[in-house]
Amino acid sequence: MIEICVNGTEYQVEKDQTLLRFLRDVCKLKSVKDGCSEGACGTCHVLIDGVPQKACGPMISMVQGKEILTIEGFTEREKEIYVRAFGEAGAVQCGFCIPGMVICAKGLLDVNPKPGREEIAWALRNNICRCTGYKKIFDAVELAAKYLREGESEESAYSWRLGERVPRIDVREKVLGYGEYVDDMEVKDLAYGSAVRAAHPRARVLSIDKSKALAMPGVLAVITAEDIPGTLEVGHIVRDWDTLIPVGKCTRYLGDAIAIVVAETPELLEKAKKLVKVEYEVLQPVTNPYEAMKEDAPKLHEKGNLLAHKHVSRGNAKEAIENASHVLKQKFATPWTEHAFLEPECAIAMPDDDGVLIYSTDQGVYATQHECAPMLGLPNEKVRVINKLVGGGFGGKEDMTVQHHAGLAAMIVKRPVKVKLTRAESMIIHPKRHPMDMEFTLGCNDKGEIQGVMAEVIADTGAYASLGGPVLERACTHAAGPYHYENFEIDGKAYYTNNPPAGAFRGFGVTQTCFAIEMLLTKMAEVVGISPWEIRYRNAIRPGEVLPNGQIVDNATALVETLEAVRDVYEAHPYAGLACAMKNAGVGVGLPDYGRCIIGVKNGKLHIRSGASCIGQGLGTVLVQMVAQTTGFARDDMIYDASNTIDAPDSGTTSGSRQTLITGEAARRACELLNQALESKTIEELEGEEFYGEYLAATDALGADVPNPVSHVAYGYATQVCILNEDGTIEKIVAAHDVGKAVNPLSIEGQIEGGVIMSLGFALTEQYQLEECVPKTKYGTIGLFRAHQVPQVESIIVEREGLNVACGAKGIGEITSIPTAPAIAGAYYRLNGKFQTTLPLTDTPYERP
Amino acid sequence: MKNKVPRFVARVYCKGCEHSQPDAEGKDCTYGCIGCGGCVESCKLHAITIGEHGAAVVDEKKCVGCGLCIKACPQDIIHKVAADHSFQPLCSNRDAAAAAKKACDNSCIGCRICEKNCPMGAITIEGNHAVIDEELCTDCGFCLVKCPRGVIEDVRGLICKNR
Repeated sequence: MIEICVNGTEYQVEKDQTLLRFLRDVCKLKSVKDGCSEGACGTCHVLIDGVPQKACGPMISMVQGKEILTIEGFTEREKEIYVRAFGEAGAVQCGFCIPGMVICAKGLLDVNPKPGREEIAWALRNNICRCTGYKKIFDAVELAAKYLREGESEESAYSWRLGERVPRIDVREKVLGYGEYVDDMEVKDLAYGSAVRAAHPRARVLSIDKSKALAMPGVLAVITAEDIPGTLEVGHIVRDWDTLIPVGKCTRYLGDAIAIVVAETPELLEKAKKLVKVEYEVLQPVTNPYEAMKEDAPKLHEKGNLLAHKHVSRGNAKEAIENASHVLKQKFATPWTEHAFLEPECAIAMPDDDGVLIYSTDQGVYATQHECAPMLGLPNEKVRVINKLVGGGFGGKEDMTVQHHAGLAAMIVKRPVKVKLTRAESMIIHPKRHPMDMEFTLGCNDKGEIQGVMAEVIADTGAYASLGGPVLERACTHAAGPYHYENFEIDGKAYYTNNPPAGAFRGFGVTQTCFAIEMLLTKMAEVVGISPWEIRYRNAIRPGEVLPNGQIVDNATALVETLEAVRDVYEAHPYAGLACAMKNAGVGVGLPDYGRCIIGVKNGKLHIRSGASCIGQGLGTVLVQMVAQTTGFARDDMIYDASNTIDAPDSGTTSGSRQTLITGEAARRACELLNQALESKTIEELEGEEFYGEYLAATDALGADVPNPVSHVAYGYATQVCILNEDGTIEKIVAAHDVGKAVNPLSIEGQIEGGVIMSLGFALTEQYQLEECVPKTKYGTIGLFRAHQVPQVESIIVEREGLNVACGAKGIGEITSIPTAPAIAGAYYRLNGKFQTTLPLTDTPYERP
Repeated sequence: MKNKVPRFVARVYCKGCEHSQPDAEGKDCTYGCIGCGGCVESCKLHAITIGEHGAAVVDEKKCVGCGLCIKACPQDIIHKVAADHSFQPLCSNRDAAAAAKKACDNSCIGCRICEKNCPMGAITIEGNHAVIDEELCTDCGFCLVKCPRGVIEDVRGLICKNR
């Protein structure tokens, strides 16, 4: 008998298990998050006799007699203080790491009531956060310490209007850990499903023997391709992704599912999976795009290995470069990157009348519906999807990873089924950032004015299309940079290989080509004899000018202001590097891009409903502020409902930095209708009514035959500066971002700090190693920046009017990550004279052995 | 990349064992603590004592990491480490597996189980012996949980396999 005390309650238990499983499954303490169960992420920290410790390692027998404390066991005062502090500091984004952070904060503050920043950072060193860049979490711990020492100050009276630094609306549930992510749900009669994955990246499946697994007591089903009622394939844009690989077909990567086993318990499930015997004919995998493009390469998909070919051309780049005074030509390469969101993929599905209900953590409930329904043989409306809290996405949760499997399993066993990826599975399965090989040619005149740019891009899009086509397109359209010149030609190709799929990743291809063009500009400045700042200032796009893609930019274009904002800090430091970037807000290029929002009046309150995922970026707070601004209603009179396909209209995927602008404008339009109604009626008289706002972000197709096509409804612009110390460590990153109208500056700073630190990893430390298409990197060995290693990040928010939708607000989600790597590489170039063309950079103090 | 660590302490990389002196079973580790007391004498803060198994033990609450004991140790088995790095293989034996096993009940035999289970890639086997890279370690304790010899200890005493 094991005796253990949790939050003051004594437990006596027979079965030994890990502390994490005991706390979550037996004690039902859901603040203790399961982010990896391999000791790497820190989301499961608890206090053992007052000392923070990850709960996924020790068995409960090893902590017998100890006192375990989770957030549920905090005093009411402590709870209130941490909610206040984390909210006011803007420390909470996706929220999945937050309870672990709070635990480590308490562990520190109980013994050190007035810690310094370094002590706070050290205390949080074992907790990964992928959203915030840690800075605002340090702020929160400092603030909590102050409140604990001195008592809480009076709470601010927020108006919730645009421009106010309000705390996120979901802070309380995320800090105290009662907010539900899918894995936290308690569902009656729940069964557990998991897929047997491919043993080889490329192999023909010869046979699948389910008999032994099926014979095992507690196994409910072993589902293979022939059990699928509808189409075999799913896919975000191109339906090329086999739900399960049928006998006779080939696997395309190690993440391919062969059979889904459904069992009564997770333990039985693991045993049963081992009993499914799959015979393969092992084939040589296609390991990179150069092998894939060979004529005799095996065709990984019916249409061949070329997923996408994009050619963007305006003016005459070849001639302009030939006539230019200075020409630079250079090859660049950027690596695979793993999103490393803290919450692994998880879905729970259940039979629902004659359809299926899926609880998901993803970036678009309607995308999940549209992908799953044909596979399940159901009309769209019979696949209902509800978003639970989403523990980070960054592009990595746009595809089907577990949702479709859960839906299929629930339909077949006619019971609720949970499918959750282990962290190791997550590392293999969801699409990554495309590695790209690029060759750029840049021609300038004697003044450093760009005359023409030519480029070629080769992308490895891995096993499935995912969003590979649009990512390549965005990489190409943005390769020109945010500059004013006319002659531009780029040719990009994305090839299928047997690597994990590559898809959306914050920056959407632009992160890669921005590195190339910005590095060349830095070098060109030297050739021309002007500063890297000056060359950008001379070429920077200004309102009314024409981008290389032909679009005339609007009055909200503030690239020049971002450059001016960093000029002094750049010029004051000898080892500073800088880079500029632009990033579209919205899907653009002529595709139908709708924002939709319903404001419903219920019990006198405004219910804000939109099928648009909040993945931690703070969409709910943005919409509440938009509605407060437009209607004048108080925060307490509004309720933001989670994204779903049941009563929230389709507002597209959280992708392309689009939600603030596109769903924001839809919400604003719904408010306008409400305001009109309120002119003649009271809110009580409007009880039960709904106001529907819709916004189509109309654009022109790529290559449209118009003089100045509008590719995107808005672009955000940015300049970032990296400042190095003499010893090569980074002193700070200064990031100036043009956001149009800042809806919530606190949230914007959080996005900037998080985006910058994410790309600090991209530039300096992160890896996702593949050997013969087999991923070799674990969550813990990616090289994610830890709390005690991050430099300062200073955000400069540049506001400028001119965008006539969404109260002038542009998206900020992706651009924060785009210019960071070339700014850092530019700084090292000044420090050590080594011009680097591949990432991560070498010869830095951050380089890993 | 050097981290700014709040506090360093001295730690003795040997737990001793009932057989730390040559005995009838012939157990005799030449690498471990010999209980000479040099460190005890060198410590101005009286932070070191000789423990029940004949090996020196540092009271990490008293220790300030001055390093005098490290200089005084003839066996070279006291190291300066960040106090917060809780999980450590407290053994200095560098013999191959069979000899190490013979020499002491608490010896590291270089079996690599901790290395395989470390999520961070922080553990390597050097000289038949587990070494944890403090920069990479995130104190999860998987190494302690998986160590078949009980070599890896939680110096805070929170997690203990033989409770």
